[in-house]
Amino acid sequence: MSEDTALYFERIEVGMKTTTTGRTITEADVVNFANLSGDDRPLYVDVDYCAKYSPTGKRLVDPLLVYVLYHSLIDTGAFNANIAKPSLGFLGTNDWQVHADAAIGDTIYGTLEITDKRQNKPDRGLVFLQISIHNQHEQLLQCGVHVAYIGCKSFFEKGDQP
Amino acid sequence: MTRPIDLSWQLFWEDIPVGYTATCLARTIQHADIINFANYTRDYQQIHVDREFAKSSLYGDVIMHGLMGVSIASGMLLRTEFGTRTLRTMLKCLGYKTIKFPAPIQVDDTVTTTFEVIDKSDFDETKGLLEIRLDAVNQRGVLVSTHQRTYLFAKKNFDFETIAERGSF
Repeated sequence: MSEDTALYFERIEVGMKTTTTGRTITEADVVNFANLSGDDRPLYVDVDYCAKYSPTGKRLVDPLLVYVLYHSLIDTGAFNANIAKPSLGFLGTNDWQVHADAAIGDTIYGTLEITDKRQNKPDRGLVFLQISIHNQHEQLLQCGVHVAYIGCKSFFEKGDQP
Repeated sequence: MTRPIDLSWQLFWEDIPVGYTATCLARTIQHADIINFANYTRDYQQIHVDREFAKSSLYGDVIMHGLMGVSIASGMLLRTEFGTRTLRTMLKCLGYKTIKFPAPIQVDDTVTTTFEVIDKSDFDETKGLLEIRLDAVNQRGVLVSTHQRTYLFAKKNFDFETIAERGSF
């Protein structure tokens, strides 16, 4: 039997940090996200409009797309797959800041660090992760704090699943 | 580009008071919404995609990814009168003060989003900031998501014609 490497609440340590792999934002991502969210404002999808009315003269990438795409990288961080297993849910984000725009063709990656943990029930608790998203020039694009709900090992041993 | 932009129906920063509120059209969440988001983000956590696993979870069935709710809110906001009338004047989103998911969104839930301008402040001579809160409730009136966005808006004296030339809004 393989070793249980899941990062249950009690195994998570403040200060743990990791970096994800990269992801190039393509035109397909932009169109797919506009279709997924329904936010297809001209600044995101109208090349002709953007030639004159966007600061870069090109289509802008929705900051929410960058944030959502970051989530496709989460599992590539050193310990993230081990956090996914005992995760009970994503409770929200605090103080998410957009510092710079991404463009089609940029490659983004994320760094995350566990900054706090608070047990709110005997078998589970909140974990706070400082997330930063950078581009290929190591310029900070976005950052903020994720709040994850993580179970203790005992939570999963009670017989009833999470 | 030669096509002129029509600003006649646009709402500028000055036109939008604190307290401005409206309700977006509701949308019933389908399993396809969850799978589409899972495929987009490769977030295949069991609670989102494994119905057998989810049956015995805290929630009884799969739940939608929280950020899919935020993404849908973007699209539904755009399809209000406010959304249409700020297509040009809403310049960019500068961040999210808070995003909270107090209750899960599940298959067949009908979600209605209401937004309200809760604060406004100056940015510079030609631009201002609006703080908008979006609350989503399900068909039972339970708050499923609440988040707050900061938007950069054009003031009436904002020069649209030279945005690309000057390289900034």
